[in-house]
Order: sequence, then structure tokens, then C-alpha cells
Amino acid sequence: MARDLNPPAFRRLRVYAFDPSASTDLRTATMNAAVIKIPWEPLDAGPTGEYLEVIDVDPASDAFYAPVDLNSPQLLAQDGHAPSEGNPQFHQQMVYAIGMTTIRNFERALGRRVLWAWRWARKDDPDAYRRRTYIGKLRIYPHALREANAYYSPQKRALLFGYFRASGEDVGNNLPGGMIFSCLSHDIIAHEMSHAILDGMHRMYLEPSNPDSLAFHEAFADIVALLQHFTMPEAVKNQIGRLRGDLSQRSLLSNLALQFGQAIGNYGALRDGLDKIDPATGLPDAHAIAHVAEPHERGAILVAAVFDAFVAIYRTRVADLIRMVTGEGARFPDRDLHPDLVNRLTAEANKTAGHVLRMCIRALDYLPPVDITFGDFLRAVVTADSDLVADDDRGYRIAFVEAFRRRGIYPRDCRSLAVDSLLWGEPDEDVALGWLDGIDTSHRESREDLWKQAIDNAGVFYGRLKDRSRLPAETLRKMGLALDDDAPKTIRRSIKDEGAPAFDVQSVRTTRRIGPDGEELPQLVVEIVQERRGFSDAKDQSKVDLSGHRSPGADFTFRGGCTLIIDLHSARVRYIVSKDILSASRLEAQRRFLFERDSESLGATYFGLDSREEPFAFLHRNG
Amino acid sequence: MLSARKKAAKRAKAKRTASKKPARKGAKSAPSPETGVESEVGGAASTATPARAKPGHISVRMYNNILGDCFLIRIPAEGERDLKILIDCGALQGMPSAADIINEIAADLAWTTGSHLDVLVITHEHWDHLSGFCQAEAIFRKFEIDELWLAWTENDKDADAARIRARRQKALQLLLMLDKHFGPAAATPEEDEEETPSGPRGARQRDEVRELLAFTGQSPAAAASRMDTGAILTMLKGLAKKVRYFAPGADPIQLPTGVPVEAYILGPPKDTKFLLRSNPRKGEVYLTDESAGLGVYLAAAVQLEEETISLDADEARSIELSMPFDNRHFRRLSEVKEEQSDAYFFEREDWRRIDRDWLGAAEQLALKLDSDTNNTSLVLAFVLGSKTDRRVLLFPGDAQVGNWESWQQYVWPSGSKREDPAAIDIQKLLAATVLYKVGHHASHNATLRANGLELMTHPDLVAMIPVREEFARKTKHWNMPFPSLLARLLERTKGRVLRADRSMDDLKADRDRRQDKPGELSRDDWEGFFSRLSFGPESAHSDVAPLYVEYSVPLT
Repeated sequence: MARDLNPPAFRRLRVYAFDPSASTDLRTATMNAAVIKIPWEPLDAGPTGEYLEVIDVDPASDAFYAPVDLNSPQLLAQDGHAPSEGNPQFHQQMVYAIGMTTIRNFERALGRRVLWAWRWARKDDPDAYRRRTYIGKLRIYPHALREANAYYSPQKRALLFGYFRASGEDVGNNLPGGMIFSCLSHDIIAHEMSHAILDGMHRMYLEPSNPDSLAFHEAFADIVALLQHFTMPEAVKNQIGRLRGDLSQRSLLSNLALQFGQAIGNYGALRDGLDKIDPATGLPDAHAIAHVAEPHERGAILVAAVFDAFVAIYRTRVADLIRMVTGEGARFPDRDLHPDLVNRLTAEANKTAGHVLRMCIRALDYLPPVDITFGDFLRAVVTADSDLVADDDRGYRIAFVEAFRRRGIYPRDCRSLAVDSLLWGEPDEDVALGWLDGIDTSHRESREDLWKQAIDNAGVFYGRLKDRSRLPAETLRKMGLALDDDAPKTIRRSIKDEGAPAFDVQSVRTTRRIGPDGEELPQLVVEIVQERRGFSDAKDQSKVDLSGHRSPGADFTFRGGCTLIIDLHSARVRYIVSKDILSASRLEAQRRFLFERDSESLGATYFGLDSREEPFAFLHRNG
Repeated sequence: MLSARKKAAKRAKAKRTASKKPARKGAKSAPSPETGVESEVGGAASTATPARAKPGHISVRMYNNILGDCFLIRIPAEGERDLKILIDCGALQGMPSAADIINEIAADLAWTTGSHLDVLVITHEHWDHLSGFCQAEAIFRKFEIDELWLAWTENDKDADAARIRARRQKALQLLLMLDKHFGPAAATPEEDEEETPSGPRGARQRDEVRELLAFTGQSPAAAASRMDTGAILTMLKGLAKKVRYFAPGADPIQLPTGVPVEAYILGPPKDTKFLLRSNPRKGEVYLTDESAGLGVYLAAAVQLEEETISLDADEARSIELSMPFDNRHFRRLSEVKEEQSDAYFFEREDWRRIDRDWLGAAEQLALKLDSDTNNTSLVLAFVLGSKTDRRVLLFPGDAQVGNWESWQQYVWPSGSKREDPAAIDIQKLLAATVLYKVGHHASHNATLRANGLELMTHPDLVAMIPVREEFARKTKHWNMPFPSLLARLLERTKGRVLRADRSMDDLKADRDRRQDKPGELSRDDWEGFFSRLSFGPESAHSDVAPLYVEYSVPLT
């Protein structure tokens, strides 16, 4: 085929801005049929592009729905199929469009291309890195399940969406007994998509090692879905008009998965970005974080904190506009707004949401590779943002710290909540290790080449760390690794390498972010992990730590390691974000978390002790 | 996991006990129960007459070594005889040497009761509560059973009960059909070479649905038994001279032959709202609606066994409506398969197919089926003593949250006001509870906390847990006993928790750790407790715990 010299920049596709239920409400019907622009790419039927592969099989009904061809002239001429619940080809178009939007948001924030979780080949030699398999396309099955569920399958590198019939007495705007498709909800698509992207960056976050770990996965996915609402101008305009500018009120924008929530009998959205405020103090419950354990509920606290920060930033940005109308910057009008004002507020909301979303996504590179907590996330947000934006003149970082503090989310090991003490630690002295020797950071066009480059870099890094003599002991401690022969015997050993403690360079990523003042910030992010056998009885633990006997079998896996953030210009390590493999208190905390939980559902009584094949499916069914 | 040394010891022990067994089978010489340390040793005489219960006491015997319930209650009655009540007899399907252990128990029951029961109680229709009557049918067939007590939900003549049972049957059939077509036996093994177990998650195949179906006695994973739970119930109904069904809240039952004990019926509730509630939290929104819950599987079933299922016009229409799209969008997946053109069928990407994933929802159905049946448990509170010194033995079967919550609504005697000092309600019963049979092997949702365990404030509270933790955890991967519940039970009873998987020595070790510590029982208290305990002989089939443990509560 002749090379297309002038491909268009965008493909325009029609979607539901929220979900089909907003189309049955006269006040929201028009804006709910939105057209979004996604970067142009050559597409096969499916749609099947570079990142995504939509396959519409429905084994529960023994059905196959013909794939949509978005290149057909009829569809190109009218921005794809019109929104419709009864047309499976529109469903395919919508999951593709929202999926690509989410990917693009991540890529813009991260300064690199999104890669899916590769397949493992874990051995302790540099060659093993080459045996990992590249996964180019995430699969999307829009009608995979006949149940009120949707999930990301880490095993299959696929999103599975379910459909079901609305049940219960009160199903909101929906037809009782009518068919509800989770693949038609913007929020559910964006949510599952975020799970997949997050898993591609941090493989170990799927493992519940503390109350925050699974909750973080859920919360992050919700945050992305929520903030993406503000990228649809028509919808935002409509809602801002109704709210008279005040985004701290409950609305379609702050709701998550309204139709789904109504259809399963929730009397409202599945979740939302606002938490309960104590009317007396005007503050949220700062103690909830201490006792809420269910991942979605616990995640909701983090979501509320981020949404709170978003609203606070939005308020400071629009205070001048509001002051011109009401005479008070903090008091929103009690009458309908002028269309010009609505437009200005919409623009501010859109811009703020973009900032906050990028702050959250950027933080992902600054997180430890294992055992994440909400406090870690706050530190990562603050560090990542101050790396890129030196001058926080609008107080974005303070807004974050405040919103987190109000919900009792504190980082551990911090001297104060001042922004500068929240930054991750920098190494005391420079380790002249030549971190970047042999690391290839040249630009690659294709995602597969990029991935290969990362794998090769991981192999190089592995070899460097293997040469232990070059690393001072203090640096290794700082990195939370135990590579000496006298390390506890429960740490997984390499079979090839005379039983030396094994470790794995999980990922090496290059990022090139551009700051607001145009300065480039090229960095190398390296994640190194180790694993250790854990026992439900502390006595067994200390025994096997010394003896190293294989029996009794371990009860759980305990992980440690670090994320290194290396400046590509100066070739120096900027930050070490570690979770110490030798930390007895962390080990004890994980043991208590795994074996002393008491707020589990019945499903957990039966299915809880084993590692789950489909962690998200389980989470969603038993949530 | 057992160490090699331990295993050797186990073998040696098994040999020792094996030589003992034939002598007992002869049933002429009585086993000499290993009595509690402080009580008189050798109290049991070796005669052919049935062993008598402790005079002036109500004795509760828990048979050990099973993940299942088997409780014998004996109360001395007029005319030199005991009143004998057996509550359940069963072991979970798939438990190793279940039949041997059950037969050993049945033989002991026959010997202890003289093969006569005044009352047989079957709390609910689960394998781990009635398998014994099938596994030891020969022994139980010789029993004389005066009365069989069942919950109203087992009454075929009750319309509500019939509906509940029909729904249960339908769900079970659908699950079995799905298992037949998609279960581990039908699936080709999908070994994933590259995804090694040292990755974040091992791709270990375990079939949760099958594990759960073990409660129904119809798990395809276990060897099929001669009878299913329904057949066993039918057999027992035929065996008993009289069958009685009980609904909650009615006047307490006077026990036959005038013993000073009354039985209060607390559950199962008549209200389906309570009956279907199994979980302390929300989160079971998905299967509340009958049609939505089962329709999915029905639609699938129709496709699977088209030839065997005939539909009338309405059913056909409802199946059609349960399809997501109009017919014109519909192409059969099995026909597309033959064309092999679609990316879905690329062999290299086989591991990403989703042919069985939709069945994950079947786990929910299996769970629901399981907890709904648990909630039909007949709940009995045996009340004795005087008005000022009331004592209660609580046997909740496997009642789950909804059943427990429904107890709040009753006041006895019926028609009296709750404020009336003479009236009895659940608060008073729980406050007087001195023996609590822990529900559902101490899983987390079969013991209500705030309105249940926390109200059991009697200083003499003792708990019995019919559980085998090792089997529950290592084989079934179930969190039983639930750690925080167990911890609270130990606190509440100050260590007086009797478990079906613990020996007398374990209990003594526990005592030695606790006694005379602040807030714990004194040496004298523990002595008193042990004097009311007796332990059965060694089991021939398990070295975990003795055959039984028996606890006696003074009647006056």
C-alpha cells in the first residue's frame, strides 16, 4: 500500500458522555451524545489498532457480533455509529474511543508511550529478560460476561465487560428488567483501562500486602474516570450551568457509573467523588481511614481526597470570576449564570482537571515497586510535581496535602507535613557506579522497539547490580535490598548463582516530560524487587530465617525493593524510593493484614486464603 | 504440613489404636472414657448397659475429628433412664476417612444410647450435618427414634418451604449442569508455560464451586454417595415414629418424660427478608432478584442442552428477551469458530480466550445457595434452671446473619410485653447462655457479633467448635475458624473453648498458659471446669483429638 502522506490528526467518534441513562433525562440527553477526538491511527475491523484489539465474542450466549469497521466511508462521514444500546457495533466503537482517550491522557502525563504488562520468564540471569514476551495489544471483550461486573484480567491482558438485567425495585431512569451494558459506561471503561495501564507499570500492586494496596488500584482507576469527565466540554458546560459553578455539589460530574449503580439497586451512582462532611465541623471523617478495609470503600477515601484537592484548586482559579458576579470569591451565585461565565468556568474546570489528573499520573513513576500505601502516593504526587514545576505559585501541592490531611491520610516516616519534607529522600553521597553505562536511551518509534530497549536495559542493570562489590553496603540498605550471603535465608535464592539472594529488575522506563516553562525533564525509572518467604507464625519466620529449611511451606510472599529515579542529564540518582526487604515491622504488618482481618465477606471466608486467578473479578463480585 | 518425625509417630499410633478397634466393635466391653483430670478416674463401669449421663446434669457430647456437626445431649429422666437428643451427624464431603470416623462415632452413639433416641434434630439439609445417616446407615437403621425435629423449611406441605426448596433445587441443578459442561473435567488443561509461579500470581486451578458443593453432598469432585441429602431426610422421616416441624417464636417445647428443660425455637425465620440475608455487610446485590439471578444460567443451560429442555411460549420469549441484542446481530460463536478467521481463534493467543470466564458468576450462585441453606437452620435454645438462675444451651445450627437477626422479634410467652420482667427475649437468653455451639464451624458470618456473641455475658460461658482447621485451611482453603472470631470466643469464655480438633492435652496447655493471670480464671475455676468435662477414648482413625468431648451442666 502507498504510504499515506497526510493522515488526519484525529478520528472523531460518537460516544455516551456518561452512560445511556443520562440520555433518558431531558435535562442531560443532548449533551450526553458527545463526539470525542482521538489521535488518528490506522485501524482494522474490531476496531483493532496499535494499542487495543476489540473482540466481540459472547460465550455465555454462544454469540459473536460482527466487528465494526471504522474506516468505512459511511462511518467516517458521520463520526461513527450513533449512540445506541441495541447496536453492538456502537458498543465496540465506544470502548475503543474511551479506551484510547484514557491511554492518551496517561501518555501525555508520563511523557512516554503506554505499554501493557509483558509475560514473565523469571530466571535469575540476564538472558531471562530477553525471554519475556511483548504484548502489543490489550484485548477488550465488550460482552464477555453475563453479570453485573467488569474487570481487567491480568492473566489474559484483557478487559472483560459484563451485561445484565436491571434488578430490584428502584432502578432509577432505567427499565426494570431492561438490559444494562457495563461497556457503555464511560466511567467503567476508563476505570478498567486504568487498571490495565497501572498493571503495565507496577506488576506487584495486584498483591494485597496491606489494606491500601488493592484500594489504591481501585482508587486510582476511579480518579482517572472521574477527572476524565471534565474533558468533555459539552457535558461540563451543561453541569456547571446546573450547579451554578459550584463543583463541590453532587452531580453527574462527581458520580461514577450512575446507571450501573441504579441498576443493581444502589439508589444512585455506584460510587462518587464526594465523601460525607460532618455538618458541625465542615470536615470529612478523619478516622474512617483507620477502620474501613473493603478495597472500594477504602479507595473512596483516596478518591474523595483527590477530588477535594481538585475542587479546592478550581475554586482558587475561579475566585476572581465569581467575585465579579457575587462580590465574594467563595460564594457561588444563586441565580443562573451568564453563558460567557459558564464557558469561562468550563475552561477553568477543564484545565484544573487536566492538571490534577497529570499530577496523579506522573506520581506513578515515583512510587515504590511493592507494598504501596496512600501516604506513599501523596509523597509521590508532591515529589513528582515539584520535580517538574519548581514554583508552586498556585498552591496545587498544598491543596493536595491539605485534602489528604483532612482525611487522615499521612505518610509514614515523615518529619512534618510541610511540602518539602514530603519529598522522597535523595541519596546522601553520590554512588559513582556509572548508573547509565550501557543503558540505551535513544528514541524509538515503535512501541515494541521501546519495550525491547527497556528489557535490554533491565538486563544491563541486572548485571551491574550482580557485581555487588561495587555497591557500598549503605547504599544497598537505602535501596532496601539484601544481596549479601548472610541475608535471611527466607529471601529467595538464585539457583544458578550458588544460592546468592535473587533479585529482579522489574522495569526500566525512560520518561521525557515537559514542564510548564518548557524545560525538559528526562529521567530513567528503575524498579528492583526481591522476595522472601513469609510465615503466618512469627516463630516459624525467625526459625526459617536462620535455617533456610524448605519445609514448612511458606504462607505468603513478602516483597521489598526500590524505585530509582535517575536524572539522564547528570546521570545521578535523584531519588531512592524503597521498601526494605529486611524490615521486621513491615513483615509483621503484612502478616497481621493477611491473617487477622475480620471484615471479610463470606466469599473471603471460602476463597480468601488462596491467591486469586482473577483478583479484580473477585473484588468486584464480593465488593 | 507434617514433619517426617511427626508422620512416623502418627503411623505408630495408628497401629496401636488399630489393635484396639475390634474389641470395641464387639460392643460388649465399654470403652473407659478418659475422664477429666480432677474427677474420679475409672468412673465408668464396664457393663453392657448403656452408659448413664452424669446424675443431676445435662451432658453435651461433641463428637470430634470431623468438619461437621454431631452432638449428643443426655439428661437423666424418671425411671432410671436418660433422655437422649441427637443433633445432626455428618462430615463434610471429601474429608479424608470421613466414613471410617463417622462409623466409629455411630458405633459409640449406638452403645451410649442403647440405639434409642428420644429426639433426633436435623438442623438443616447440608451434607456435613446428615451424611452420617448414609455412611453409617446400617447402624442407624437399627435405632429407635421417637421424634424427628425439623425446621418448617423442611415441611413439604408448607408452600413457602416448597418454593424455597424448588429454587434451591433449580440452582443446584444449574450449577451441576454448568460443571458438567465447563468444570475442570470438561476443560482442557491450560498450562501456561511462560507464566511461572514466581510471577505475581500462580495460575493454580482450583474450582471454588466444587469446593462449595461439598456442602450439598453433590460435589462432582467427590465420589458420588448412595444417597443425596434429600434422600437421607426422607429415610429419617420414615425411620422416626413422629416427625415434628417447628417455626420460630412459638411456645417453648416441653421435653418428653418431664425433665426440667424447655426448648425454645429461634429460627429459621418465616420472613424471606431475613431468610435470604447471609452477609453482615452489603455486597450481595447481585443475586437478590430470583429471575435476574437464575435467568442468566437458565439461558445458558438452554443453549447447552437444547435437546433436553422443552420450553413453552412464555419461557421461549423470556429467553429471547434475555439475549442482549436483536437476532439480526446474532451469529453463533460455534459457527464462526469453523471459519477460523477471527483473531479470537489464533492458536498462539489461545491463553487470552474467555470461553469460561463468564462462569465466574457461578461462584456467587454457589455461595448464595450455600448460605441460603445455612439460613434455614433450626435454632434451638435449651433452657434450664430457675427464673433467677437461668441457664441456656444454644444450638444455632449454621444460622447466618439473617437468621440471627430475626431472633430479636420474639418475646415469650407469646403475647407478653418485652418490658414485663417475667417475659423472655433473646437478650435474656443470650445473657444466660452457658454453652454455645459455634455456628458453621466458626466461619465469620455465622456468629452475630454485637447482637450475638457480645450479649453472651454469663461468667460460665463455654463454646464448642466442630471444626478441623487443618483440613479447612490446607485442603479447602477456607478461613475456618475465623481468626478474630476465635480470639473473641477465647476472650469471652476465658479459654473454655472446646474444639473438635484439639486433644485434652491441648486444652490443659491452654489452661496452664492462662490460669491465675489477671482477668483469667483461677486454678479452682479451671478445676471446676475440668470436673465437668470428660473425654472419649482415642479415635482409631485420627490422632488429632479423642473420639468425643463431653461437657456437663448442673440441672439445678
